[in-house]
Amino acid sequence: MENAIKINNLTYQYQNQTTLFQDFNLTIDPGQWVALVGHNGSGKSTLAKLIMGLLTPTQGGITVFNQVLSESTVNDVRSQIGMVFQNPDNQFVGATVADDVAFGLENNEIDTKLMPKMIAKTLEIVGMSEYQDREPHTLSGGQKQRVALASVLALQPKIIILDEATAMLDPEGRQAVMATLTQLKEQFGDALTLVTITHDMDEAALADRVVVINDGQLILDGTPAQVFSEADVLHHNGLGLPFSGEVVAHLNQKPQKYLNESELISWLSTSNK
Amino acid sequence: MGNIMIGRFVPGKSVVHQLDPRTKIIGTFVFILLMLWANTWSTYLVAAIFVWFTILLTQQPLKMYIDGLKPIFWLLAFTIVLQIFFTGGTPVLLHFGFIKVTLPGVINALFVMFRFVLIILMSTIMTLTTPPTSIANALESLLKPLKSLKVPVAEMALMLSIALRFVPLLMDETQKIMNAQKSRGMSFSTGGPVKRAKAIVPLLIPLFVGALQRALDLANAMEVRGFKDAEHRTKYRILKYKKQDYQAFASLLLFSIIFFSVLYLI
Amino acid sequence: MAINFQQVNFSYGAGTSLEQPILFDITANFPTGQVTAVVGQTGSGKSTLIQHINGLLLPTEGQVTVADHHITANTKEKELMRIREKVGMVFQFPENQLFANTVLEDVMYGPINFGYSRSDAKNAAEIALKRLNVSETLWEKSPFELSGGQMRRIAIAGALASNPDIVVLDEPAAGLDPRGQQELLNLVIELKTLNKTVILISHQMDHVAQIADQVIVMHEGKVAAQEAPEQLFNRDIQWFTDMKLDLPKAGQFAEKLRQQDWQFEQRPLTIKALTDLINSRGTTHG
Ligand SMILES: Nc1ncnc2c1ncn2[C@@H]1O[C@H](COP(=O)(O)OP(=O)(O)O)[C@@H](O)[C@H]1O
Ligand SMILES: Nc1ncnc2c1ncn2[C@@H]1O[C@H](COP(=O)(O)OP(=O)(O)O)[C@@H](O)[C@H]1O
Ligand SMILES: [Mg+2]
Ligand SMILES: [Mg+2]
Repeated sequence: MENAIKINNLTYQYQNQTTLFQDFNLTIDPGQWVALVGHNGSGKSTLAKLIMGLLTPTQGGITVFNQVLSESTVNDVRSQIGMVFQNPDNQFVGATVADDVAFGLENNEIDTKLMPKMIAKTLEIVGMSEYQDREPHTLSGGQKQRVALASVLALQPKIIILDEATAMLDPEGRQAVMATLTQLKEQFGDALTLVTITHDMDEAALADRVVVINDGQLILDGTPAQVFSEADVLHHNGLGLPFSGEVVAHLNQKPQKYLNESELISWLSTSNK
Repeated sequence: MGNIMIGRFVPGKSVVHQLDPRTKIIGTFVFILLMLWANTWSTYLVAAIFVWFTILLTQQPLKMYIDGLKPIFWLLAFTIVLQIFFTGGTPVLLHFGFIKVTLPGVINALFVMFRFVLIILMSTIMTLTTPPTSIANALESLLKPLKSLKVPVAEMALMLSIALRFVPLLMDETQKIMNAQKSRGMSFSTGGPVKRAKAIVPLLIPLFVGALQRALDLANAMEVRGFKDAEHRTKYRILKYKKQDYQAFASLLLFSIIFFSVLYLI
Repeated sequence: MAINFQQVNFSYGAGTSLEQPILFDITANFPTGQVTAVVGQTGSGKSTLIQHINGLLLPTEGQVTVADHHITANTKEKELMRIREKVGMVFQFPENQLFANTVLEDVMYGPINFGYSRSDAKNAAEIALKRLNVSETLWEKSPFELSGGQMRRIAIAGALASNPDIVVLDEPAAGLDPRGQQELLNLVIELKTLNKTVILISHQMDHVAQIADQVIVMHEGKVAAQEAPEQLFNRDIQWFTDMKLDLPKAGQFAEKLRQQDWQFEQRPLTIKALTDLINSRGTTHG
């Protein structure tokens, strides 16, 4: 089967630094929602930048939908992947919400006449239609991040990578962004591959698959249930469990396997009554 | 920093807001040229009426414009004093030792002041009613002829518009860093000039480091959205003159005619 | 050192056409040796409030008392400098304020400004760096070579270097990973044992429930509540919706159990309280 992203024996090091990634392998299937987790400095952003061709591997290859990433294919690869970064202020290119969404369309030389409709459509998907003409400094962090998401969606990518897109937001903003993502995944189904980078385990728990890295090493890789049953490994790597996992850890009678929050609530309600 | 009005955009729905940015740039430019010509009381009166009328059309409180003049008060006072003391002629009104205050000096000073105030007001009208990036957009369009001379107009306009986009952020950042260093005891109001100049280093360095980080982040964000160069792009906003722009040009023409009639006939 | 706000009103740009009233009739107090959490929706005025504590902002009306200093609209810069020495301010993303050639020089900046001799300043800086667990091998490095987490700790050390009696932290855990957040909470607890007056702005109600002695809730520029966390987090659930405020995660979980017909007298605020409750049910029923 075709992979969405295939990372093959990747080696990378920053100049004058020790090797960060050494023979690193990871494949992501089309339509998956993968949470890439690890403490600060574990190499998550570096990996994302390598996939986007913003950094070039020392050795090894990266393939995106069967296209090997190289200097000559980097623009094609980028047209398949959208990326949202951490700082809401530093990725807002346009003067207004609509101009920001238009920026990518302009780069792709889309006909001016087609733009308003495309902009309106993507803003609607992220629930920002009413903010078309607003300037960035009048928006909250969460709203800016949803605009960033819309800007990416307008280019109809097959993959979206979010690099700690919620880390600088307040709880309200986080919730809005995560709800938008969940809804996007429902709407696009297998046509959209999502990679969310985070160290918030409650956010990671929303994904289909959780990949834990530390110092450029793959530590754990599996379904949330598999990964979150390795509490010790996670703690050892400076990470925690989702809240439901922490609760279970303190229970006298525990369920057989990892349960997410709503599963745990119904389990408690049936077994404890 | 909170009350400098020139350069600040205040959103609104007035006729002036809706004018094409090119119209406003050309209008302001023509107005400034005319002001350099003005040298009689009646010409200043005509210009003041024109400015007054435009201010009314912007539907912004007059107080906003007056606040805008406050920061330049000292600059203004200084120029006036210079003019009063160093213009010669007769009759002499007052004598302080070797300094003479003459009637032409006073008149000259008043003219300079009117000129200054009117130009500032007109520029404030433009920036108050036009988003900075529209100004950049308009400049690109107006300077298009230079493209044939290999001037990278598109790049320059994009750079300008992004730089303008970051102005509020950097102002905000300056305030934050200033607060942080003040909390650590930074003071601009003590010590000699060398000490005061040194005091600014803890402000400037974080500001530069922060700006650099923003620039790197922004470059990444632009690249991943498919930015290659400023030439091979289509445009979302295409500037087009509308009816109100022709009306504005007509008013400008009318104003110029009255201005010159007053200048040469009265 | 206690802090008292007495009927403070504050506007940005007071007296200009852009005047924006932000704080309304704030009366609040921050007792010595206690941790006061300030919470509330973004834009509710938390950061504006705390900038009154060391006179970065002066009340438009009313008065702030810090120990025996009174801050009003007319307080002079000289007086404010004496207050600032006693207040350590850690702003959001404090790593953005680093500037010096070495870590040590940066942390010495505050003490030197407050009139310490170089050797005293160095001593003070070293104590602060040790308190923040910054390894000695980093002291002579450039702060810009370090990781984000290390930079944050150095910036905090910089705010604590003149050994202030009052420490104000504005969302200090934002963007930190779980381990970094825990270290920060430990620091707050340590400051408290040193009898400092600690003020912590936070969006994370778990942190608030864990370490705060009292909580001030800001809402649209007014104080909506000032009380102990146990009392606050047992308010009616609708109140939290109105204030756009979260419950601690244990409390949220308990609310979901309540919808499944569980009953609680007190809302559990920590994992331990929550699981003790569940476990005790398990033994009586199971
Ligand atoms: N531009 C850079 N130059 C040198 N080292 C870097 C650079 N960016 C990141 N690093 C280092 O690489 C490691 C991984 O960083 P990063 O990928 O940003 O981690 P994460 O995103 O997981 O927090 C860290 O040790 C960091 O200090
Ligand atoms: N320097 C400033 N000038 C004008 N308004 C400001 C300034 N700083 C903050 N505000 C406004 O004051 C209000 C409260 O902001 P702030 O105190 O930062 O809230 P919080 O810290 O609770 O998020 C907001 O509406 C904000 O837009
Ligand atoms: Mg990162
Ligand atoms: Mg704040």
